[in-house]
Amino acid sequence: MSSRRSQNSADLQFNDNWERLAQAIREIHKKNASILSFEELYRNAYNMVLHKNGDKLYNGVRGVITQHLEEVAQAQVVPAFPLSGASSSQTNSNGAGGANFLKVLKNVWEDHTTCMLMIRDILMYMDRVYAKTANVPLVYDLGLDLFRDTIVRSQKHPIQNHLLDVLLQQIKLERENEIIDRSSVKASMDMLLELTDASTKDTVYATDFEGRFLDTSSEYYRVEGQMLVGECDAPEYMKKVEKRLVEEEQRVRHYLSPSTEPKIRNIVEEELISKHLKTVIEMENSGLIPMLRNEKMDDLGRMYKLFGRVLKGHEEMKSAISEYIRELGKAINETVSSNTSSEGGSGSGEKQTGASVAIKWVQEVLDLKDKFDKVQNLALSNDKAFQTSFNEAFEHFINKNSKSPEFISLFIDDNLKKGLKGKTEEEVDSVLDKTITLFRFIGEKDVFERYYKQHLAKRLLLGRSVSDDAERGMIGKLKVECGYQFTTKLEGMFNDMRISADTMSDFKDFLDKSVLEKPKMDLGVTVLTSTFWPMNLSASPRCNFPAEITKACETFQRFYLGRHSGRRLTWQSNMGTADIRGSFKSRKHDLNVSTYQMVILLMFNDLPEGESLSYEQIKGESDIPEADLKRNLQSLACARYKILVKEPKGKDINHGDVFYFNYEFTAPYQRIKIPTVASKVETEGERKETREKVEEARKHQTEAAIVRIMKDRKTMDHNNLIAEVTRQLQPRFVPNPALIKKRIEALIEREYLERASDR
Amino acid sequence: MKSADENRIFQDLLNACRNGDLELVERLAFLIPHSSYCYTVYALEKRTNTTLNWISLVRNFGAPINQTDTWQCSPLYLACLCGHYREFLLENGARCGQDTFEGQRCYYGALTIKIRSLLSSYKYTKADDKYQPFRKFFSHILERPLDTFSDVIFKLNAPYGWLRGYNTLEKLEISAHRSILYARSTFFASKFQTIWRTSKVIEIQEIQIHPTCFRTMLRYLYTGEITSIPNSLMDNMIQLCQYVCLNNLAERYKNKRINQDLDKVEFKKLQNDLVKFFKNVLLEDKQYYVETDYNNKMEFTESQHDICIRVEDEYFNCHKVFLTERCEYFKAMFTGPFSEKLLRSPRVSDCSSEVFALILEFIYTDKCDIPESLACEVLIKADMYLLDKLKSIASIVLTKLSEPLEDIYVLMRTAIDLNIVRLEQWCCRWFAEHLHEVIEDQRFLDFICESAHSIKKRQETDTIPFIDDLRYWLSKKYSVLEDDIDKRSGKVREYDGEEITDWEAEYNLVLEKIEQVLLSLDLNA
Repeated sequence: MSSRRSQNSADLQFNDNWERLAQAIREIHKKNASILSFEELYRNAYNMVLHKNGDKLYNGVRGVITQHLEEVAQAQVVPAFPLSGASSSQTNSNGAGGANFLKVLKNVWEDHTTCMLMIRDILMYMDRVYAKTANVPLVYDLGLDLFRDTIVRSQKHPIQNHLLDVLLQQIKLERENEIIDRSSVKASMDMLLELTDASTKDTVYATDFEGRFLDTSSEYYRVEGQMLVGECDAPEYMKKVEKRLVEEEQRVRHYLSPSTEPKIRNIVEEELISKHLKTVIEMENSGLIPMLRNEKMDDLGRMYKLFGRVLKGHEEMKSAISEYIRELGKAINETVSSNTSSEGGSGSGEKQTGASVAIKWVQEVLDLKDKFDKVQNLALSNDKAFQTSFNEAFEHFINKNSKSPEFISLFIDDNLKKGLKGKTEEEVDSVLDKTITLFRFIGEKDVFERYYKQHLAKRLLLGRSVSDDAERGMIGKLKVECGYQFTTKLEGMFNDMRISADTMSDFKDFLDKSVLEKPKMDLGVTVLTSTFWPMNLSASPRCNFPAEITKACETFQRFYLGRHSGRRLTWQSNMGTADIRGSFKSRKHDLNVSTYQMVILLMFNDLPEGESLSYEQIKGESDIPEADLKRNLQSLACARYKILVKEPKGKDINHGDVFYFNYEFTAPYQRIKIPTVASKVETEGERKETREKVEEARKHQTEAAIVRIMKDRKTMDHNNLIAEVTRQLQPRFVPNPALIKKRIEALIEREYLERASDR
Repeated sequence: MKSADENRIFQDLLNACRNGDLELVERLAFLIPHSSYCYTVYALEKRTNTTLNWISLVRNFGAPINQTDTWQCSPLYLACLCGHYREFLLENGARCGQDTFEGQRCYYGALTIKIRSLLSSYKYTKADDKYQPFRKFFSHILERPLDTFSDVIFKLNAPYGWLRGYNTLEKLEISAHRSILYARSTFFASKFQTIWRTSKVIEIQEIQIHPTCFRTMLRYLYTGEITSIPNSLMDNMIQLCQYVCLNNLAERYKNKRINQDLDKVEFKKLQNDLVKFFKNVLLEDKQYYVETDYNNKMEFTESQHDICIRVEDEYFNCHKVFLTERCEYFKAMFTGPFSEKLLRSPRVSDCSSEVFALILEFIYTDKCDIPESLACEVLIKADMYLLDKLKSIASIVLTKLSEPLEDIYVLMRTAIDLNIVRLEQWCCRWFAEHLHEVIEDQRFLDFICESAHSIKKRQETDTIPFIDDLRYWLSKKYSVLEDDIDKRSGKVREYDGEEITDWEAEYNLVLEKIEQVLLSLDLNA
């Protein structure tokens, strides 16, 4: 009995104490904490816990706080609900109502947290001793949970709906450029972030708000994306998107959780960029192609940055741009081919324009390249992936033009020849550098080599090079690109030129010292190593030199063979030039002519005035091949300087024509250069010939490669061998598998290879 | 003063360490502090050549394993030297930090690398860390003076060009606490009593002081740490030290002895300074104002106090910085929005002034000499004020007694309420020893019932913790071996042929008695 009585008195004591504590909490809620004595309240709570009344105290506190919060919800939060349904879209009145609601909620939240801090202070002992052993939340967390359940997710009042609607609506208003009270929005967000969801242990922000926010945002931007695409041109659209991205990023910084940032960014990117990639790129008059056309670097740069945010963005841009490059390249190719074909129709006489077509083509390609380099540089921040796709596009259309190796070689030829005229060496050098970039695109590098050799030979033999340095520089560049092998022959040509110069000076000394009769003419000889040079040097062309010349040649031959035994010299009468002096009625002229022309003219030396030689006579006596003879006669008799007079008159040389020496010839200059056949675009026949030579060379190279590989590997299966051969030959040309197969068969036939017995 | 018995046991402990006899080490380590009671058991053990399970006792009571013999060899040192890889001593707080003499010796004496690495992994033992919160307090108030009731501001006047970033026209202000400076430096103490008595802002005009130097000096005064400074400031630092009469510190900087070795010594000094400050200044000051009216008058006293706490009829001059940062209770009281915030002399009720003085001593100095008679009350108050360390100090004082100074039932009640296992075990042991006196007492029976009901939804087979503890201590009392105890009945079994000793028989009788009591209480255990 006594224990029960003491129990009762303890209960009474507890009730008494608790009543005082509850009153104190109410005072705290009324913001009257300054009249309370902390010492007393703490002692009070301490005693309750000490006397094992922790659970009663805890539940009591829970009750008082819940009651208070319910009152607050009823008295403060509910009256502040925005007037009409929050979902309606009367922006202004609603917006203000919403803002007010948020403010009220903010105040309620702040009051609650400050109160909870005070309550926590008073109940510190309970937190320490009771909450820990009873495994219940600390009192502050209890306060948060109660706030969550009685205010934010109130069962009695639709606070949650209003809150979320208002928040989303405020954000919507801000997206529509209205000014909202960010601080109260932020306060609500902070509140949601601080509250945790009981079941998921995640924040209420994440469970209640974030999903809805993302859904509405995605809907909002879906609509906006469709609208903007219809209304704006591409640059404007991109500016708007950029602005949206910045806005959302700032929104997150200002009042959302940082964890939302990637999610909302993804939504904007998805809705505004990914979904409209193609549309924006293909916008007429303002899309990607017009931007490129008008070199709108800012817009391009913006597009690059924006599209880079999404998965396919750069992919689409790249393919669009390279498509455009291909188109432009095709256009360039087409103008060239139309030019040549029209010229081909008008006659083969104007070879000069043929070369200029080549130069024009290269120049246009270079300009195009420049343009895209600039785009690459200024707008695409030197993105390597773009560079590669551009290069592919260039490669594609350059190789589409089968003449491109020749054109490029011609372009180089032109620059190395004309270099001194106006351009400084640096300029030439930079042009050549650019040309090298084009050279890289060529698939058939061996074809280029062949042309380059031809053009180089002509430059060297005709003394047309700007300078040795420039030539060597160019070869150096090619060497860097393609390696030593590619340029050995070219270098050999240079060597020949140098050695020949030495030989000539030796020859002069030899003649000076010689007791023999000196030739009546100066002889300049260039000794060419037959394998280095592109011409077919082994077969000596037919041509009968006049006696004097033959004699001079023999003198040199004796001299040269005396020095180098075991060599054979053949005279290349289809090359070389001669300076001869012609006496005409008015004055004497120094004529610079080709060897063949010299031979022809010398025939007229012995002829009295008025006598003539027929075509057949000339042909018979000189034995010059017919095509060459015709061309040379043409340039002597039908071109600008008519040294010979032809009968009957006409442009073309025909059998039975008769030629007189033109004593009446006049010209303004003392020295005249009779135009020889200049570098030119090849005719179809020549092209075919070159082609055949190239094919022949390829056969050898392919075989060489096969043998090299097989020597190394001993046995190898067919596919691997083809792959390896292709890989090795890649830098020079792209071999056709059929070709390789043929070569393998040929090698097997000649017993270089054999099929492995076990397969 | 160690008794002869104690010495003998310690010698045995050292020998056991040498031999690597872990069990013996464990038992001996426990024996020493409780020698009077335990030695008899030990002697008995030696005689009967049996062993007991002592480990739980060691864990509960702690042992002086940091004691040294006449040659200053600690048990750990011997163990290391003789190559015994044992974590027991380390786990129980043997000192091995490399910055202590003993630790250093252990480290170099370690026979194998394995032992050495074990030593370094235990570098931060509990023994080393026991001042950790106190240290943290000082560095915290040093770093955040404005949040911790700083009451004085020093304005420094650095000449132009000394430091980039400091505008010389705007003087640099550094906040500090008068109480700390007063306690730590005679220079500041005398200045605060004289010319700086009432100044809120102090400008040091006599010498030019670089802000970095001043901060370094403050760090030393607050924490005892001596931190390095750039060589360019060395002269200024030395000048400053001499100016504020910190000659030791000046010497240290002059000789460039800025290593952390003496940190412990310096910290000890810091603590001593605070003890002096507390005992000589604060407690003396306390009486000073008894007759005056506190709420109206606030003068600067010698103790530089900023709050005056009324306990019973006494007033304690205190510093909010210590109260709030050392004790959460006071932090809530003085930083919260409650009425005490504005009071100059809040009242603390339910506490005697002696006890409050002890609490203050702990707050100011992190240690406390508690008279045995007050220990229980201090224990309760420490629990109320959430001062865990003081709580354990008080419980140690209580459990060192052989007989309770107050009612054993009250003590037991306190131990249970405040959840102090150590004290509860001590009470249990006392009950075991005095079982015949208490077995009839209703209060004793109440404890048994309470313990039985403490387990929710108790089952028939569940034991009663209190009874279990009693049995344990009884088995100790009658030196019954665990192996001999029958698992079911809890009594000593009769082995075939082996006679039950007299003590064991007595033990069985006592258990019988308890059994009866339990039956009468309708409990089963």
